[in-house]
Amino acid sequence: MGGGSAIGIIIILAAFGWTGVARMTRGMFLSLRNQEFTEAARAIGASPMRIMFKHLLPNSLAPIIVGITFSIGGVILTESTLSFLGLGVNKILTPTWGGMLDEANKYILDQPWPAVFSGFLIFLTVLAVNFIGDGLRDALDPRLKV
Amino acid sequence: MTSTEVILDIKNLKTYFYTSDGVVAAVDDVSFQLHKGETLGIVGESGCGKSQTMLSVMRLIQEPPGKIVSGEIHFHDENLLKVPLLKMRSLRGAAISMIFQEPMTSLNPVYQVGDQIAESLTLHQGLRGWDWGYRLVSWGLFWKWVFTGFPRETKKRLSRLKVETPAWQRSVELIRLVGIPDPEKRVFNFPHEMSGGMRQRVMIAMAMACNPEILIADEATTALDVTIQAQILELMKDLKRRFGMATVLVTHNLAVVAEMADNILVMYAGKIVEYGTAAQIFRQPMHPYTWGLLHSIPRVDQPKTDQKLPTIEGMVPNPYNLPVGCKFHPRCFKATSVCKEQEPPLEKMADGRQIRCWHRITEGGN
Repeated sequence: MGGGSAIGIIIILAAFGWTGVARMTRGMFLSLRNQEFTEAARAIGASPMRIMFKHLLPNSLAPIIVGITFSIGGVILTESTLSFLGLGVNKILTPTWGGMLDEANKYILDQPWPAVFSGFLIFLTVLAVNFIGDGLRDALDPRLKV
Repeated sequence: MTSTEVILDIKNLKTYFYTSDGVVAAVDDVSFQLHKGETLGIVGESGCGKSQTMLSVMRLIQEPPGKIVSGEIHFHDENLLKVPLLKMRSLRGAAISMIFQEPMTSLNPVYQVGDQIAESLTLHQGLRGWDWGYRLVSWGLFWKWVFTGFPRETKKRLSRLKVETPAWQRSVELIRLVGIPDPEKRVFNFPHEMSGGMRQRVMIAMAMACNPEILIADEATTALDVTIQAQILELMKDLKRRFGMATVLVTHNLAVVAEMADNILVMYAGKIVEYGTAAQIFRQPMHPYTWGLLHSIPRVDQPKTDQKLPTIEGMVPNPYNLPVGCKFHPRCFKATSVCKEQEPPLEKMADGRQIRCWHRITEGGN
């Protein structure tokens, strides 16, 4: 159980990680395209492409950004979990926080520091990314500006 | 005001909706003409096909389930139903434009109102709205904001760049035209920063942006309170006087029609039941449905009586299951056995009126 390469893990996480955001975007678009302003845009002669990219996309940007940042946090956590279980990146060649957590697990009662710090850093990174997402959403949504 | 030049000629328009429960004839064999500079009022209850008729003209019917089954819509000498989509798109907003019912939701919440007015100008008149300088500066400022926060004077620089584009200047002009005070500042507002009446004014400015020949107001004043309604109507009248476009008012408010319209088209269950000039219809309604509509309005200019206000009995018929014969007969006080069996034809009268009834109300009669 040496685990795969870093690139392999990235590819797998990317291949399965995008679906949540995609579903949410689709849902947003489906509800937005029934809104009156979409019809108003069609009535001034906007093309479908223009409506999609200039009217619907900016309106769904806020939830998309939040979704993306949450999924970044989720992906980091997934990677850590995989490494913790010994299924992630090869710990000896590429040290990861999840892998360190796994290693530290063996002597957590005698020497807790490796476990505490790698866990704390994972937590901090995920929190930071979520904060960036929150900030971006507030910046891009005119309704929230004071 | 009204000239004889026909700019919109609708012939036998049929728009059907194919749903899982059956076929709905939303617009069934509707024909009428719109003259240059004319104001046409289309009235009727909810769901009688008024809006669908005008959406068919714009070719904005949701398809599926809707479909324009047959008919011709001639705009000048082109059949709008045969015109390729690209051409149709260039007509929408430029030659034929529409004001929608809900000013609250008809504006895109993420754009400043100036941008939205400018959009139709950039689409149809090629006026420059966003230049590359503006784009670069705004992109740079965005990242500056992300890292440092927005300093005041750069925000001003950004808005100055925007103000200099021709499309933006024209939006300011249009906003001034529709009577919004302080237009130079108001163009920067987002829709949620404006009141309902102002948003409706912005909608009118958007519709007026390219000097359309036909302006369709689809229940444009319904969502507003009465004083604002009066202001908006006054504004539309004024714009019409100045620019002379033909106007179609789709409404269920007879007072609005009485105030504005030259000609009136009364629709019921997807069909035209009566057509005539405003004077004809208001002075002497011939169809029992029109008569009922007019007499169910309480009047302040007549002495108070103890009698109940007349109403039209019953409900709008289920569109999946329309009555045989005249569509109005179950609710009609003049209905006889003929009405139950045969649908009356739309008859043209000598004075240009059209009416679809076996037992029309004649003068002095009833």
